[in-house]
Amino acid sequence: MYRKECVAMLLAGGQGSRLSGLTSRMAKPAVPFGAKYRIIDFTLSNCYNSGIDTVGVLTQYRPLELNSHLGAGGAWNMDCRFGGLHVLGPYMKEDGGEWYSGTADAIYQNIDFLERYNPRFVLVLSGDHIYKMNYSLMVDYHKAVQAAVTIGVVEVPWAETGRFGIITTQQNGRIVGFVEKPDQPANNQASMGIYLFDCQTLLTYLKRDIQSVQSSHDFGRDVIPAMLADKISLYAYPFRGYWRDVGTINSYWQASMDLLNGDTGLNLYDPSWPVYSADGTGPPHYIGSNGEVDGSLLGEGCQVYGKVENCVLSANVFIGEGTIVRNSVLLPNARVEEGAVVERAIIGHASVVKVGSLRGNDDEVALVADNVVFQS
Amino acid sequence: MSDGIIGLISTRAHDDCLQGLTEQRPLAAVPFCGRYRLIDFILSGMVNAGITNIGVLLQNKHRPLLDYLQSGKAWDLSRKRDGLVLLPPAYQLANQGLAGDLYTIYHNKDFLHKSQHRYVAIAGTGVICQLDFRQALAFHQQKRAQITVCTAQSYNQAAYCCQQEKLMVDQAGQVTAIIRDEEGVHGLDIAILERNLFIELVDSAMECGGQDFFRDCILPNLNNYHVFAYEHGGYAARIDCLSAFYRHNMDLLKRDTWQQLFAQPELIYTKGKDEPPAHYLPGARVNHSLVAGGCVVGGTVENSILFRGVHIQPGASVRNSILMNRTVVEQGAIIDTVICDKEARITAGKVLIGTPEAPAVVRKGIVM
Repeated sequence: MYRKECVAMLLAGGQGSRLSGLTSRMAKPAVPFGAKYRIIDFTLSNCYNSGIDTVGVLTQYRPLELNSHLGAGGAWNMDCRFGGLHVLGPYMKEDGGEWYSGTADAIYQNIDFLERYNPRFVLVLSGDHIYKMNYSLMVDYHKAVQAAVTIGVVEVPWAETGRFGIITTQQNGRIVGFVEKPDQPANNQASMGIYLFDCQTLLTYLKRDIQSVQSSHDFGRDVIPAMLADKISLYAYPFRGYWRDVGTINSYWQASMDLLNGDTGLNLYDPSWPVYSADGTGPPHYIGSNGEVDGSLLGEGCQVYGKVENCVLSANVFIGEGTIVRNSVLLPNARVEEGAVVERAIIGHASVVKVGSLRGNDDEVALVADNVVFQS
Repeated sequence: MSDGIIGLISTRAHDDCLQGLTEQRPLAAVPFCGRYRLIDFILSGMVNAGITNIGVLLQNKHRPLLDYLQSGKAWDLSRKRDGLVLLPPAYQLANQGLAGDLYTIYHNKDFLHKSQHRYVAIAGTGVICQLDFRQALAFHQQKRAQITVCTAQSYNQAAYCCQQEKLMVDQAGQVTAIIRDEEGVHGLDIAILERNLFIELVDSAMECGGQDFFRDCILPNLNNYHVFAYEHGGYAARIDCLSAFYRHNMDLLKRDTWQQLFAQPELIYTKGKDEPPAHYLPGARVNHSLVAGGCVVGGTVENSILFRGVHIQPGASVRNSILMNRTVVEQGAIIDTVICDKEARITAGKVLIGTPEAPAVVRKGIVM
């Protein structure tokens, strides 16, 4: 039977508790981003554009919105006869069943899926990040250095190193240290949560990790350190493009604002690496006679009767007469009603800013959570 | 035989009426209002009424329509049973110069014979309306009509160019005559009748050299059959000349008109493409306009409709215009009352001005 060279496993099961307010009804990868996308679209599009046609999406927390968006994967050209997009949730077996208890456990419980396609490589990804990356180049690198495991790494601002797994490498790229969320980081080279494994190596270590009672069954905390300890050949693949973890309100806001800045390097208009999403069939958006839009991204179906400056508006957002909305992100169906002022804020799904003003400051972006009516 | 309806969408003889815009495409494929094509309205209306066995008659210049419709997936018509069927023209059509849809219907009679459904709803694509086919059928059954033609008291904009025939309708709702004056109602180019009668009418009209279904099967038979008029109360617009096309597009910039057509519970389906969201650059000045996805707007846009992927460079000025997919207006260009077909390009500093009765048309791919 024909085998796939590389199968991707996309971890999409988390709530994203630091993004709560926007995740009360959906998993983090399903959260809208960039006026017409959802966060998971970037990773899925990367898969398709990199030539990967078989992806298991591991879901757990509130998967309805996400699963409806994914469908059979047609939007990313993954509705295939052999392979394609598979939604993999936790399930019952003869002797009971368990929720996924960690990233490694989620993959372990889906060994059957991997064995079905018998791939040479398994690419573990997360559905939480905004970036464009050609995974096939990482596979080429992995083959060239004869690694058993390759981890994608990116430089992060020093202030943020406490959020990531920090990786120490030799000159030739071989990994010698991996510490999750260190207090005293050795450098600012962070794991992107992108792991490329030789399939057999992965399966061996997963089976071993499952036996361990102390393990939290997490790649970063348990499996990778175990491999490192056994001197498995682990290499770091440096990524130099734009990459953002949008797991907090502030980072989500900042990444949205980055889209409005031509210099960031994440070009949504680059035809050689499109970002695909499940089709909207909404009408063109409408700017009224007194509407003003400047330096912003607008999704379909929006109605703008007020002033919008430096904002990202998702589909069907309503901006009323006499309003001013600046430096803000509005999720689908959000409304800003007559005379209100919104600055440096995120307005959740279908929420309404009824009157008065809502202003964030340099430290904190203001947030109106999903389905809330705000009046100041 | 079930009580269902077979949909038949036809391209009629006078559909070649939008000059540059219908030069290389049938009327059905003409882009409208920022992201739609004329056929979307009737297709969506049928699908929303549960009509899922739909034949689209292809005449000449049908490649853009084939390309657009493909499997019908965007309208939920890519199905195991029924679904979208493309009905090709017969080769003889070109040689005989037959302009109407009758020959193509006749050539594709198999499509009708194979269906289990009892009724046929035939519709043109030159009239935009969200007709409720279910209600029209209920009316047809209730009146025990043999043929029901759908009508409207008036169109949204009285801007029709060709002298329109109107229908005289009596108290009982029966169509009695064709007239050309103030009284009477407008036909919407939509009719419902039983499949067997439909086939009979097509066969006899063909024998007499008929060319167009409405003109040669229905109108001559007003006194031979019970023909009733079902009145559609909502938005209706006839696109039969460039000025009408322009006016109806512009009219949809008014929120009230917009609500009438688009703010119904039933969606209007259309085929999407994966363009990124519309991006307004700093310094963009846009008002009273409709803007579709993928546009990059840097200049001034007023009272206009921008289709997908249109670029308005900083310093450009666009007023009262309709710019179709991927049109580029370069810096310093000034355009007013212009219709640009896809991928037109107005170069830096160019000035182009039309009038509402005669909008300037820039054809597909042309650089000005």
